[in-house]
Amino acid sequence: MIFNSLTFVLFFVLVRGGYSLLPTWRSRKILLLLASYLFYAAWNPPFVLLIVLSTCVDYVLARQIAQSTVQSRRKLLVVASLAVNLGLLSYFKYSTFVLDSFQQSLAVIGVNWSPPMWNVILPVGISFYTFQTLSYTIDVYRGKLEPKESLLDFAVFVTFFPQLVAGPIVRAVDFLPQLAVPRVCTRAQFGWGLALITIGLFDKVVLGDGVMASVVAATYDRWSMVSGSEALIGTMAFTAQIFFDFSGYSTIAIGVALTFGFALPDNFHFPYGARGFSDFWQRWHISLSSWLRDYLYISLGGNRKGANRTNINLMLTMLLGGLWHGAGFRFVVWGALHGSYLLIERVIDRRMGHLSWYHTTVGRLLGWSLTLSATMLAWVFFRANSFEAAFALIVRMVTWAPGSVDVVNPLTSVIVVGVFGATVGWHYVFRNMRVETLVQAVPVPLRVGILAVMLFAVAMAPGNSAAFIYFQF
Amino acid sequence: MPPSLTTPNNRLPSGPWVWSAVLGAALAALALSGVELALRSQGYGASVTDDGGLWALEFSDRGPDDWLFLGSSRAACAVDLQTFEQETGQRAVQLAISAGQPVPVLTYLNDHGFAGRLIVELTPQIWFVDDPGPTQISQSYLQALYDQERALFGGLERRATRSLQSSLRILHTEMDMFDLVKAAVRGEPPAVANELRPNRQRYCFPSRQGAAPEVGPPDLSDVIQARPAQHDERLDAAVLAIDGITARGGSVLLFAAPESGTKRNTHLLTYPDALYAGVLVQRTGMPFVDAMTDPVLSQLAVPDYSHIDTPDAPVFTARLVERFQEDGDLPRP
Repeated sequence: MIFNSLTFVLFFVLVRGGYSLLPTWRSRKILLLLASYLFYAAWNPPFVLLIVLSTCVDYVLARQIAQSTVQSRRKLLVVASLAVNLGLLSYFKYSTFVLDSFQQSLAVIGVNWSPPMWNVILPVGISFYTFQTLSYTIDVYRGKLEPKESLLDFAVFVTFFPQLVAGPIVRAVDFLPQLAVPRVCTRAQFGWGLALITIGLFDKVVLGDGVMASVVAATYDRWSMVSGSEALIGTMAFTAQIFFDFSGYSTIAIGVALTFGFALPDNFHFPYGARGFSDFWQRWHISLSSWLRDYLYISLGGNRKGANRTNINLMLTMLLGGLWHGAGFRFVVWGALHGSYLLIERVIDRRMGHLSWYHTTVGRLLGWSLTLSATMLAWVFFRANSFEAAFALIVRMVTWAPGSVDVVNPLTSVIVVGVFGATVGWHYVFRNMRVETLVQAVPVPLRVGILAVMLFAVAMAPGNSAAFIYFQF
Repeated sequence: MPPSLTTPNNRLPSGPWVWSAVLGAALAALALSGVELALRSQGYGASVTDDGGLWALEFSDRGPDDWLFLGSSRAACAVDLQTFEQETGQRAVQLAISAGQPVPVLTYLNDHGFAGRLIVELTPQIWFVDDPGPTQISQSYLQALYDQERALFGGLERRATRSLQSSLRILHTEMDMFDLVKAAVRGEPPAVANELRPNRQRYCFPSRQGAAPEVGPPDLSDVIQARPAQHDERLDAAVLAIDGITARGGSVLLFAAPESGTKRNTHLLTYPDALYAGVLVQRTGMPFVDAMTDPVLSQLAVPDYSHIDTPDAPVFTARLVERFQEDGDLPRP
């Protein structure tokens, strides 16, 4: 079930209504659990069993880890949790990729081998809930968290429907305490939650799908025909689209959760206002980047084992982060680019950090524009259909090559450049502020007007609104 | 509560948010109603979005005895379902896919044990073209069908959308708001169809356009000799599917819609019937009506060389049915 659907509107009204009517906290949690399974089953019913399996395995293993005092046994149990969760993830997400890569590698040395047809369906959101359950087991193993006695609470944590399929990735330490005591949704929370849902829908349906998606498809699917300027406009459009799409989902998820009285972590904080890539990753998909930092980068040794090892750890983390996004070498290259950016940034900071101009307005603007340009370059690999297409689009942008057909009309170009420019400018100007603070400065009548315009635009948007891009991850 | 969370209590922007949201929604509803009324008063019509989702819904809703029309936009524009039902006394479902070729659908039907009734439009330029586009388009429609069948509420969502789009002008996806405002300012008539357009007719002409200017006769001296392997693959796949369906007791009728000018030339030069359509008809042994050899059908105007005038669809359908009835391939009412 996707948020931008009539089915979800009906689902939300019924579940939220039922939630209010139920008398006890336990019955409300049962409703949330059943609703979450239904939410997931709406996409493909049999795959609910996978979530149930993942839930049960981690519930049992975490309890055994906590009960055991023998370190080797504790380690074995946490490895078992990793094996089950990552095993499922690997099978469903990477098996086809591995087989194809193996076949291509053999072809390079002249061996023609055709693997059997491997028609594996990728369960929606498996990357998200796998990381979520893993964080629980690892935290229990590290002694940061007591295992949950209530299977119901743990199951609600794993399946909570607002963030089940595309995040934010919630940590057990953040969410489980919220299930321990009854949540009371105040009028202010409910109202702000509805406002967040409206803002998220506007981002996704109007800006992401309505303004950007068709331009991205037109330019990236016809990469061999577009001009340099069209390739650039298509890349601007994708840079904006993926932000509006994914941050729109997160905003709706946070808003929906808030209407039930739950708090979810922030996932975006004006990412295109970042100066440098360590800054970017503290603003983009924050719940993933912090997960990778805490459970992968630090587990690899972080920056505790010397400069060279730090660099290797950084690169490995970003490569695996890229692979997390998709089973393909383009995602690996995307991760490698971001890893390289981080390494280069460390060198620049070391060599130039002490220079005064580095911290002037000009220096900051330069840092921001370089960060944005490099981010856009990496997005080309993320979105292009193939390496050939990605390189061709970059060459066309750099050489300002003429196109063989007009793919984007002038008015659309102006709109895309305008929305892109406004978005990145907005991100830069407000990079150190919170949305809540900004909104508070807006007079109430204007808030009402803005919400009305957003809802109007959502309803009037073309009906080709698609599933969220991050569902595929 | 950890500080990293958007905590419900300490980060909420102050103000009457419930009222703001309710009032905002009320204002939006008011504005939408106003636009809807304005569109109705100017004669704009509602229209359902012709996409894979709608195709999947109509595919699922077919009855066991319905005739299914497969093909491309040519079939979508040329066939009038009402006329078909009047002339045969039987129901038909339009499942032609604009810019799509029906071989993947035929294969799907055969793989799923289909034993019903098909009328398949045959355009060699689309069936056998090197470009994988038409095949991919049909596959994407089948994917929409798969998505709908595996999902719990797939059909419900699409039914609700179709129902809303059938009645509300503001959901007309072909309506360009810029054009709409421009037309209103200039006092021009509506730029989009002013009545509910049936499914599958995105590329059809809602009003009579007349024949397109003639182009020169085709140069047949340059007919290509090469036959890429995929042409044979598609031919084999189509024959296999049709044979399978008829072996189970199903019926398959083939027809080619009228064409003219450059499209006709492309057909004759690049996809000569002797190598493509003719071979398919011969290998399957299915009844075939070629509009270009029919004295009535070949006279219909083809404004863009590819699709007949929609107002001529009843004429086309009645004549097509008559031709099949002559040989006993279609029933009389």
